[in-house]
Amino acid sequence: MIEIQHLSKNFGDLQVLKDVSLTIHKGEVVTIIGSSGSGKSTLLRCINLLEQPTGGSILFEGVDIVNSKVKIEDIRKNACMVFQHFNLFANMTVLENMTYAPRVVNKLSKAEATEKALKLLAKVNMSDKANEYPSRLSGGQKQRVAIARALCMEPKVLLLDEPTSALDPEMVKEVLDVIKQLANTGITMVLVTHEMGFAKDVSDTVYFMDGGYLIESGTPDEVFNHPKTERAKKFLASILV
Amino acid sequence: MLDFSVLEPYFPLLAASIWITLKFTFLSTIMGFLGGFILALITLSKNRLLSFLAKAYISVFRGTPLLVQLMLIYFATPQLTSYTISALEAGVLSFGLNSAAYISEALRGGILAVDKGQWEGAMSLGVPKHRFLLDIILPQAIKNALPSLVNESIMLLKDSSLVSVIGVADTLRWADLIQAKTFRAFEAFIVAAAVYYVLVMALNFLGSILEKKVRVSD
Repeated sequence: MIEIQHLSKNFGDLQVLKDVSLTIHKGEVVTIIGSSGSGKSTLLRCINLLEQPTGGSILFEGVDIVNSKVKIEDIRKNACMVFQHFNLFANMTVLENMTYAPRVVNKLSKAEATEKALKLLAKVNMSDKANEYPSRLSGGQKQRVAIARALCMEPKVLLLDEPTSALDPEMVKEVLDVIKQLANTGITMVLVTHEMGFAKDVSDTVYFMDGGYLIESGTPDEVFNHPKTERAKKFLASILV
Repeated sequence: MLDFSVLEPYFPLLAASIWITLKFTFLSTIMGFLGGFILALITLSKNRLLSFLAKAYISVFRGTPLLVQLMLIYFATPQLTSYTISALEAGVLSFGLNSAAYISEALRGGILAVDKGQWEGAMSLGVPKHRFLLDIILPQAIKNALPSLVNESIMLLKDSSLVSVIGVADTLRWADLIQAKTFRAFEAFIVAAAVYYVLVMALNFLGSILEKKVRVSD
């Protein structure tokens, strides 16, 4: 569904992505792991053009979104992102957060959008907070709402950028449970994470990035238990004690 | 020694003058907010030429006295365009243009103070920029800038007294007139001062109500 070919990205003189190529299939759960600064988040942000790649191409269902004149909003509504810091709209209630983009972008009526939002809120166990403002929610609750908000758009791929990195330890599980439940529904998902145990558990394919290069890929078993590169072995040894 | 009773026959005239002060303040505030909003967006836009022009505009209007701007507009417009501009038009125009420069700076600060994540959150869902600017960024920017915006309205209310210089029958002009007729300077001007003070306090009160309202999401 998504074919990334020879992707590169520079921030000034700093090259953070170097010749990255990978293919994401429909229904696949992909995780990208690697140390901080390896380019994982930048790669993810390139997929919905929050970062404009410097070179290479990204074919989204056959259409090159980097080099063509496709409307940027049409790509983003199909590749919604969940952020480390949630980014819920501070001036809107939970329900308004969820119905806003479906109404503005997908032209749903208020009733349709609300119905869909309430269903998804129930799925992430947040029904009782529908009319609260984000400032009243805990980190874990915010992130569950953010996931539900992205799902309201019915995106073709869901991008999750370190969704548990900003959470207190006791809230990580509730968010991971929601993501795991999602992974089993057949949704296409790309996840950048530091939760190795979780990555091992839910992924179909794991990619390991280092210094802007994609240096290892395979099933969780291949990457975690039989890494081919020295760099990956070292990284995994340092975190999987 | 003090005798306020001499003012009594002029109170109906005072009511009319207060009305003019309010009208001035109201019209120039509207104009200032609209202009300030547009200017703020332009200074933040990526169009370099427009952004430069907006910054030049702000620089000129903040860098010269309001009274000079008022006189320029009132006295020079007929000379340059042969259009006889009324005192009301000149007043609203100069105050509006002037406060637009200040308000745009307050709003620009308010917009910049909105977390970058709010922009990215909206972009990542495919919301077009012109929509989320209005629905998400601007409401939060106004909330951030509200104390400065209330302050700006108060300044406009007080500065409206400058129009008395070009002959508009506002509150200060009323006092000036009365002291000429009755030779009672203190009584006349202290009443004018009290009127301005009450009006400013009322604006302050409105501002605090507004502040409570926008803070519901905190």
